[in-house]
Amino acid sequence: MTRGDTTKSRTTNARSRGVRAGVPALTLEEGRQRLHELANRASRLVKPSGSLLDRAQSVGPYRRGGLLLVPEIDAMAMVVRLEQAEQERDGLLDELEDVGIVLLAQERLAEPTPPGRLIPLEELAREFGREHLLAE
Amino acid sequence: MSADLRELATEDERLVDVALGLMVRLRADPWLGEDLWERYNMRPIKDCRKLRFDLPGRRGRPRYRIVYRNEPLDGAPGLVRIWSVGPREDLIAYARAVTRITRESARRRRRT
Repeated sequence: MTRGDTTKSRTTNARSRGVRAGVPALTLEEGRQRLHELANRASRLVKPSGSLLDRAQSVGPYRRGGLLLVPEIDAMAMVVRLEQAEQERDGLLDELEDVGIVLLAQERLAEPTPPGRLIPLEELAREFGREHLLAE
Repeated sequence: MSADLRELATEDERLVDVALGLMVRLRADPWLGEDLWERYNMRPIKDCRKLRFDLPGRRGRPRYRIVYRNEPLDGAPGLVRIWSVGPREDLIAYARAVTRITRESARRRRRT
């Protein structure tokens, strides 16, 4: 693909619906003809790109997209990034959950509850028809 | 507590079984839950613990929590006081809401 082709594709792509701006677009015929070359070029890549779309190639009728060809190395890097982000998110939610408990504790546990205001477990189990659980 | 369990029952009756089953187990072992005090050295959560639970056989992270405190705070616990049973999401939402309010009021204080 020449530089001119890329620019043309990007312009076309920006006008197209359903294809992300900045992703070069090919027609189905162009995609079919260049598949071998694209695969070869992608297989030689050694460093993943910063974004999944950096080296993506859109293929579809009239350059309107439909398929997205992405170098394997970029796709795998994206999977790793997603897993890392998910782990980080889980960790942050755990922290937030504990902060919620701290805040609730400040509100609800300022003083020990007078024994008269507590609901005994037996009463609670009876209320929900689960007395059998107490025998276990 | 009744309200928490009723809320739980609206999601799935079996959650009530699990929650009450855990409460029964807490009578025998008040230290069953995870100690929050160890992670956050803060007075309000001294002796507070949490238990994660979910439907039996469900895959993934448990979605519900029982939060409790062993009382009295010093010495051997004579009472396991359960003060919250519900979805983890509620605790997260609560933390978000309170921190948002605190942030807003701090901003207002700075302006005046």
